[in-house]
Amino acid sequence: MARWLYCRAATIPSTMPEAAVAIASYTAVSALGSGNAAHRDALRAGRSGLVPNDYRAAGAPLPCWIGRVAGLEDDPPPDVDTRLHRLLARALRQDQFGEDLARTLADCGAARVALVLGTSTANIEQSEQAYRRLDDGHLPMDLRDPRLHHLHGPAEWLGAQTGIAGPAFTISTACSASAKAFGLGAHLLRAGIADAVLVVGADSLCASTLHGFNALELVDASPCRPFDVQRAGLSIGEAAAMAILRHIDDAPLAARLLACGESSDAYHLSAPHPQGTGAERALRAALRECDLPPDAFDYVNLHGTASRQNDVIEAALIARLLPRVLASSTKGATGHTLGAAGALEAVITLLAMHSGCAPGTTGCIAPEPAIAAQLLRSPRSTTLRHALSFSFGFGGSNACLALACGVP
Amino acid sequence: MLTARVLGFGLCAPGLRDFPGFVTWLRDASQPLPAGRSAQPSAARLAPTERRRAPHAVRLAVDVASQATTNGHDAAGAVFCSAFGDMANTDVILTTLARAPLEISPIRFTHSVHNAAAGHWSIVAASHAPTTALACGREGVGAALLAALLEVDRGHEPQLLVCSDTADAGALGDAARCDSDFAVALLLGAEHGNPGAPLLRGAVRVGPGRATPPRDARLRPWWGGNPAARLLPLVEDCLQPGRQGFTLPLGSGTLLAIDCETPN
Repeated sequence: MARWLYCRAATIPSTMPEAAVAIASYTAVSALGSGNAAHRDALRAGRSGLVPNDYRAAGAPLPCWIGRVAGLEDDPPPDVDTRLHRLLARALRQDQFGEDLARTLADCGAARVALVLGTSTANIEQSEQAYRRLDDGHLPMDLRDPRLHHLHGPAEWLGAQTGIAGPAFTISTACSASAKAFGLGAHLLRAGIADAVLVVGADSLCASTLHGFNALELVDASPCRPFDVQRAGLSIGEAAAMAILRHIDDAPLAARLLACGESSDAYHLSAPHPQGTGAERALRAALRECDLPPDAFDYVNLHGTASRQNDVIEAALIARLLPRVLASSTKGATGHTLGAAGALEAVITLLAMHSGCAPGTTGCIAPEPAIAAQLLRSPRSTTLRHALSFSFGFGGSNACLALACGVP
Repeated sequence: MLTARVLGFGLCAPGLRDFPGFVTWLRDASQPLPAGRSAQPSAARLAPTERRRAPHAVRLAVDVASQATTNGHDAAGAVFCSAFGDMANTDVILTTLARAPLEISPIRFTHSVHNAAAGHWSIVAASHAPTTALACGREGVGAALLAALLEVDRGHEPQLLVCSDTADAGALGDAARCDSDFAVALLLGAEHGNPGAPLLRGAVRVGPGRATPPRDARLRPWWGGNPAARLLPLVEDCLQPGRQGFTLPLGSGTLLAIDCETPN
């Protein structure tokens, strides 16, 4: 079992909410590197993985910075080769994650393991390639596999690669998708539908999101600066993050998912509610579900995209509702990994708890005044027993994960 | 065992604007399946600005969602499911990206998120309740129904389930064939307190999943040609007094077995 299960300097609270489930194993691949040690070391050093945009799939690269995973081009996966599947295949190979999953499948039986994958664009990079070389208005013959062109394709590929035979879901609620995947995974366990759930967040670089966010004038030409008063937009990244959820009895020492609070803004498709009421509802739902007060939390990983609107609203919300909780956004280190962000930032938060080091807000020099007192600009060594992670998406979709450390 | 009562229905398909129209058509066996690829959803509940902006796929899903919640019920959450999303919008975006990527429309990009319909519905219904947007493949309605039943089980009821797919568009249709528009919505409430409504009992079973075809052979083209229409057997069972059952595939080795009991 991966040593990342266990947390330093922490104890399990005496009253654990009934809803809690164990996070028995986890891993991530992002611009910060491949695997938990690479992420822990980069976050502890305050290093950014952003690089000048050299993603050339759709002509000249846009003048911006990206969170690109290094070496993917030389790392083909089995069966259907896509950039996203390369990310997923690499995640399975690191941190003994594939071995942990194989053992879980053997323990539970393949039909008792479910899969919930959160993504915003799945394999659309392949659809983009296909449209650049249409054959008389039709997809080229080598790019007609349905798994390349619909959102559930990566889950079908992953199911075939891992042998998971239980219910399989793809959630696609933009940038909250893989945070919500944790919520659905926990429901499947609690309802007795599955004995283990593989939760995944994955999105790869593609022209759709780079050019789409550029068209919305939401991309910074420089590396993004979350919560900085001079911030000018986001940097797009790519990532895959995975976790195995189990009943607590099956992994009693592991870290825990205490709650997943969810809500809708009911306001606008691409702009957050100006008072952050949807985000507040997601937070309150999470606190209610785990029956803990705001002060029980030691750290919150913010959505913090570095867009003008999101960060000012989120800063005010945090100052109002979680005024004594250390906070940071890690998107200045990884880029905004969109549908993968919820799972990636859950893994980053678990690593922070495990290593006793809260990440800084890479790129932020002069923070928004409302959050300046509690925003970590650089990493800080401290004991973290309970933590929150926010994810907000287009469509007004909000999710807030509440996480707890395991025991040494 | 997961249970729910079906408290409301919505449906929109080519030639059939709403659920009462579908019921009337279904009960008249002399009527053939309406021809055509396009449905004509009502956009009455959308605000005028949204009515202009909202794409056809969004209007279709929001229409059936609105139909299913007209009986004074406020949904405590919603599960939206579409195998292929807004293919017409995706086709235009992909065509633009291939030709002149800097010309991509910001409004089209905003509507490209799979939860565009869920987001619009939450605005229309003025509901802060959680919604989700699933895409679980051509056989994905079973997973969506399971997700909605889980929410009812958690006490988040009534829960709205909306399954919709639009006729394929452009080259994407080579890999994601969808013959016509079809959308269906169910409002699912708790078993207790709604004794007159059809009762669903669902269980996840091990086995190779097989989707049960509709009893009325006229419905086969929709059922076979649009992923959302895989829910038609459930709708038929809800309209037929008595107790019936059907199955929907979930993953590669599991299925959702539904037992439907409809009072006389």
